[in-house]
Amino acid sequence: MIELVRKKDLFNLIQPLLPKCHSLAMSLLPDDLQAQQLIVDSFTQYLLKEKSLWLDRDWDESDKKDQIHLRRLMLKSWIKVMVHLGMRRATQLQIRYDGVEHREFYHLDPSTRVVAWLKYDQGWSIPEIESALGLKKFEVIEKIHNSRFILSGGLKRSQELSL
Amino acid sequence: MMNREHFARKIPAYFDGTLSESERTELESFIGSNREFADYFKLKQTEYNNLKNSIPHFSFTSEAQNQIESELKEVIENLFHAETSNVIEKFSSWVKEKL
Repeated sequence: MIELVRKKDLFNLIQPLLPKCHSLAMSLLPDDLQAQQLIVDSFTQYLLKEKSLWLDRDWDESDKKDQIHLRRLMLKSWIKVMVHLGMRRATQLQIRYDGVEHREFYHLDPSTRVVAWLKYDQGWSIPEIESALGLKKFEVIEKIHNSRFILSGGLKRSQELSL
Repeated sequence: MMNREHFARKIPAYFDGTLSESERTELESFIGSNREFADYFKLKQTEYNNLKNSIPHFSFTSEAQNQIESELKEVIENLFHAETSNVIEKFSSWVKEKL
């Protein structure tokens, strides 16, 4: 009975995180199937790594504060796994983005896309991004500056000027 | 003019959260005391906020969501099943040892 409750609670915990994870996965791999596979594979890896946390933990499913705290904890760790797996796949698969709307974004390399997503979309701080990606502070700042330059159309303007 | 350029260069770092406490206070104080610069700062703030719009948001279709949810439920199920099998195996070995 406890097991049934735990499985259900674990699923209820992750369900609200899925749209965010989908957004990150598509930022890394702009292909529906690849993004879906990334979400499932990264969750599997995360769960194997943290299984004792979820199998042995006695959390109070009715405590909203506890739920929020757990969800936040889970999201940060899951994102870390997803980013490492996703960046490796993005480099190996070299998926081309054929759309028109977000061409500047996909012009960025995978790790810069992730930094941009974490910074501008999720509002993470630089230390949080450093920890999630295993980057040094100056690397994160450099990627933020590069993404800002390209996303604000800076690259296009400088190309036009050089013509 | 020099002051204006000096503080204008600090704006990106301000938005990135990399300015020290004293630099933040200095910049905010300059914004508060200089109307023209305050307007320029607001313009930069709008540009910075617009960056969020350049991050793609793909629609998460209900079909995709159902597919992913079903696979994740299976992952969770497998985790608990593996642990239960592990426990049963350990218990069986213990019983065999005792007999």
